[in-house]
Formats: sequence, structure tokens, C-alpha cells
Amino acid sequence: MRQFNATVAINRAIAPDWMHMAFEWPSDMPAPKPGQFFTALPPVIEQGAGTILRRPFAFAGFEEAQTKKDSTKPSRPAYAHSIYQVRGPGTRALASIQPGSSLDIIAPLGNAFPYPERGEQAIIAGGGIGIGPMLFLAEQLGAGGYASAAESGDMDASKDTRSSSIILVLGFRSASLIPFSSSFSAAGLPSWKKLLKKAFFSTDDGSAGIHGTVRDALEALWLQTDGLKASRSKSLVQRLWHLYGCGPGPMLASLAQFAAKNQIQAHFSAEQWMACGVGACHGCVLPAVSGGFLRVCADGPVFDARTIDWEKNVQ
Amino acid sequence: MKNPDQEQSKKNESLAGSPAGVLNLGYDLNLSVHIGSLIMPNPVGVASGTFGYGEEYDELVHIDALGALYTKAVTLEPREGNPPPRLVETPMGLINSIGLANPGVEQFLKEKLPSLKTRRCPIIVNVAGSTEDDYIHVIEQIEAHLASTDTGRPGIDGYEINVSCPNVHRGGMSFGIDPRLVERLTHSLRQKTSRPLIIKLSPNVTDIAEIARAAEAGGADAVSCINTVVGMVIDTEKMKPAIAMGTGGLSGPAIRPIGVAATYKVSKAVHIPVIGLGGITNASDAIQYLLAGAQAVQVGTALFSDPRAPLKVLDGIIEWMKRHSVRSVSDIRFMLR
Repeated sequence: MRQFNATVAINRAIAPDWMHMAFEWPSDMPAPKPGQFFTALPPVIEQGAGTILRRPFAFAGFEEAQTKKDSTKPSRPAYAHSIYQVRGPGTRALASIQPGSSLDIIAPLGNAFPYPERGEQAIIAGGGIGIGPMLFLAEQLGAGGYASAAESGDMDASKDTRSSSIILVLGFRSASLIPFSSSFSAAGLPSWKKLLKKAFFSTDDGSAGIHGTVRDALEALWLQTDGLKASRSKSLVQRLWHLYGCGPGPMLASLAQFAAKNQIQAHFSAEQWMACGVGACHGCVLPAVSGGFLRVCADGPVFDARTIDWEKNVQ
Repeated sequence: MKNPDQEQSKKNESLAGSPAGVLNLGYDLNLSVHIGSLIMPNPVGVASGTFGYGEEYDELVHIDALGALYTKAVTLEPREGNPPPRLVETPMGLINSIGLANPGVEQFLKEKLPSLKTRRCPIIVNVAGSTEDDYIHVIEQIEAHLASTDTGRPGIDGYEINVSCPNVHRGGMSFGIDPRLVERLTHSLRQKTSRPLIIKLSPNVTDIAEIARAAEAGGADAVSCINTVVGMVIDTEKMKPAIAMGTGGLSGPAIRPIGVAATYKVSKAVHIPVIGLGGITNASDAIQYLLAGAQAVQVGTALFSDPRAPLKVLDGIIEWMKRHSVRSVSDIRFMLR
């Protein structure tokens, strides 16, 4: 981890109250991994708000530096990407930052999602602003030989028999909140657009995709693959699902239940109010199944779903 | 097996900040602070609870350049701490209710002390408890451990006694608000150690000077002033407190004027050194505490916005001393007009 002043390259709206930020990544630092996060210090601009804490954000993408053939100097620096929701004075201040300005960053922080085991089916589920790290994970798994389930234009997962494919499920309250749609044009990373095209959607109001929650979408997919499994080795395929999740507390509690019920591997990226971001203050804890608490910043933010008491966390 | 000393020095070479005690200014500038038998190389420490046991900040802060590292509280038994949410941000402040989460003195000696031994800055162990015996046993165990391993640096140069944590049900602050208990506890602990004893005072009292006098009478080498101020935030939509415990301890710039006033009052009431803290973010904040009577300061919550804050504060104090032709940091307390 390192503290550095980064030049902001992109900071623009991509959906109501959603922003996409990109900043230059130091050339001598290893690339961040999906699941990891950074903290940024918002400028103080709002009268009376007086924020003092850094804000934590998950990485949503990374672009390597580009170097021309006959040169050692990069022609374009590396960029780290994130998407964030404007929720209060801190994020409002961040949203006002103009490209070209400098931002105080500490990164990379926390652990990363483990890659799926050989032959495991990666199911990547994001809810609301939690889709950020899931797009990053989906992109990396895709680049690492994983192919989206619907790569061939086939949106029916049951027809895809490749065990190495990924399935991306994204949940929103309503279709109008899905980034890059309608008024929010084509902003964002090209890889996100590709992924979003191939994702399965759920909306609380039924305005896009499955009418219901991410859990409902997963249940539907599970039934679809069940049909597939009936003709093959049912128990084997079920065991091979590896669920990755990030989203609101109730969603993660529900997904943890889903994973436990179906006995599948699951790793979730969690969220909590945070102060130091490096493990020192013990402020950002979640209740552990084994008793006591775990720090989101230093023990996570990615946890094996079985280690956190997600139900207790949302009570 | 890597040699931790080598590792440490390698790391320090690549980090910014002047090494402790070495200042190439062309003339003498005395930054050292005397707390009992201990000499701190400079007046800027990092406050207990905000810096863990140091390791967490290794990659971000040149720890050896600090005036002192005050560890996260150590209690007799391990403590899980309070349920979340434990934090809420307030205008220019932060309310926390961590509940002294720590591994307990036994694990502290086993797991945390080895890295503390490699530090070149003074290490002050913050001690908390629910009963007088808790405090005594923690210090007894640490002293017994240090006596049995007398080679090299002890890794512990003094104790800060937390009699003022607002976030534990029993003990903690109940000691800090009763001068008789503070004197008796300090006296008992004095029998157990010759290392510097610093009593950390609570602002949540009627007369903080009275508590400071009790600490001095009990044999304390210094007092630190102040711990957090009890505070509360209520979520008006959920109609419930923002943190799980309801109330917590407010820190950050919001409490700085409270801390400066307390330091001003306490330093007039006792002859032992006062270590000022509460909302110090920059050098000017720290100098206010020094002018109010403190001989050293601690930076806490400011670390959460900028881990470089303590060493920036130190640089700023040096710059201010040069500008005002002050040769010794301990003279600043006599300069308030």
C-alpha cells in the first residue's frame, strides 16, 4: 500500500447519483486486484459538513499503461477505475472534482477475490453500487480464459455447457438506474459495456430483466442449470458453482443463505463505515460466525461467506 | 528467517522524514521531551487507539521518526469490542465506540511486542481495565516479561493508563471521574513499575484539574489530556442512534478547543508534564496545546485523513520554532502572553 497524489482522469455521472472515476496509477506499483479497494480524501467544500475521513471505494477496473513499440516510456499511463454513489457530503465533494485535479489516494487496500477452482462455474452477482468490483472480477476472469455464458449471443445459461464460463447477474431497483443506459450514453470502460450486454438483470420493480432480487435471479438460473444437470451429473455440476457477491447487506445475507442451502462456495465483498482503512482502528468490523468480529478493511473486504454472520449484520 | 532490524532499516531508507533526534538545522534546536526517566526525541506522538501496535501503518508512516507511539489499549483478558456500527462521522469529528478490542496482555506480549522492540521511537503501552486489579495485573505481567527477557530494547518505555474510556460498561471512565480512585490506582501502579506512568484524563468530568492533581499525588510522571468527549448522533429516518452502543467518544478537530482549554487548566494545576491531545491536525493546532502548557502532543484522528499528519505536525513545529527563535520545545509552554 502507498499514499500518493493521483491525477484524476475521469469523474462523470453514469446513472442518477452514480459516478465513474478514473485516476492515474503509479507506474511502479502492481495492479490492484478485484475485491481490493482504495481510500480517497474528499476536498472540504460544503459549509458546515466538515468531513474529515477518507472514503473507501472498490476498484471497478484497471487499464495497464500503454507503451509504444520503440519506446520505454509509456505513451499512456495506467488507470484505476471505480464507480461510486453520491450519498453524503464526502461523496458530493468527490463528485465535484474536475478531471486534471489531484486526489490523495491510499491503495491498494484489503484482500482480493480468490479465483475459481479448476472446473468451477463462476457466478458473479452484484447489487446496486456493488456491481463495481463484480464488473472488475468478471472482466479479469473473462480475460483469464473464462468466457461469459452468453458470449455466443446465447442468453440461456442452460445451453452453455462450458464449465469455465462466467455468469454475471446484476440487480437494480429499477431499469432507469442501470448505468450506461438511456440518457447516460456510452460512458465507461469498453469492457463494462461488453459485460453489461451479456449480464442477466434483476430489478425490484420488474422494469428490466427478472422481476425480483438478485437472489430470485440466481434461483431461476439454478433451476435452469438443474434441468441441464438432470441429463448429466446433477450433484457434480451443483457443487461446481462458485458464487461471488457484492451489494447491500440484506442481499448478501440472502445470498449467503442461498449458498448454504445449495452447498456452494461463496465469497462476498462487504461494506462497513470505515476510519483508518488499514486495520489499526477496529472501526469497520462485522460479526464473525466463530464469535467476535472481523475488520472489513484488513481481514476483508472479501470474506468466505461462511465466516460472517450476515443475518446478524443486517439486524 | 528475516532479521526484523534489517527489514526495518531498509524500509526507513525509502521513506520520507528525518530520523529521530537528528536535525541538520545549522544550530541547536532541542526537541526532546522528558517524561519521568524517559526522553522522547521530539514532542509528537501518535495517540492510542488510532495507530494499532504500529504494524498497520508500517508502509505509510516513518514510525521511527515519531516522538512516541502510544499503543492501542491492552487489557488483562482479550476483548472482542462492541458490536458495529462502531463509527460515525460528525462535523469535523468522529464518534467511535470500539470497546477496547484487543488480544489481551498475554497475546500482546507474544504477538505485538516483537515488532515494537524493533522500533527506534519510544513505545508507550496504553493500559485499560475494569477493576484496579486488572490494571495492576497487566503491568505486573508486562514487567515480569521484561525482567525475564533483559536483552536488547525492551520495546516498552512507559505506560499510559486509560482511566477515561467512555466506551466500556464497567470501569474505564468510572475511575477517571473520581479523584480518590485515580490517586489510589496511580499509587498502586507506581509500586509495580519504575517506567514512566502517564494518566490519561477524561474531559467528561466537572473539574479535570482535580483529577490531574490526584494523578500527580499518586505518583504519575505525566498526564495526557484529553481522552474523547462523550457524544451521540441519531439517525432521524431510522429513529435510532447511529452507532450500536448509542453514545461514543467524540474526537477530531471538533474537540480541539475543549482539549486546549483542559490542557491550559491542568498545566496550571500540576507540576508534572502535560501531554496534549484532542483534534490536532496541523502544527498550529499542536502549538496551541504547547502554548497552553503541554510539553508534548499526540496526533490521533488526523491519521485517518492523512497518515502523514504526525510528521507534518513535527515539521511545522520545527518551522515555527525557527521563525520565533525558540531553541527548546519545552520553553513553548512559558510563551503564552
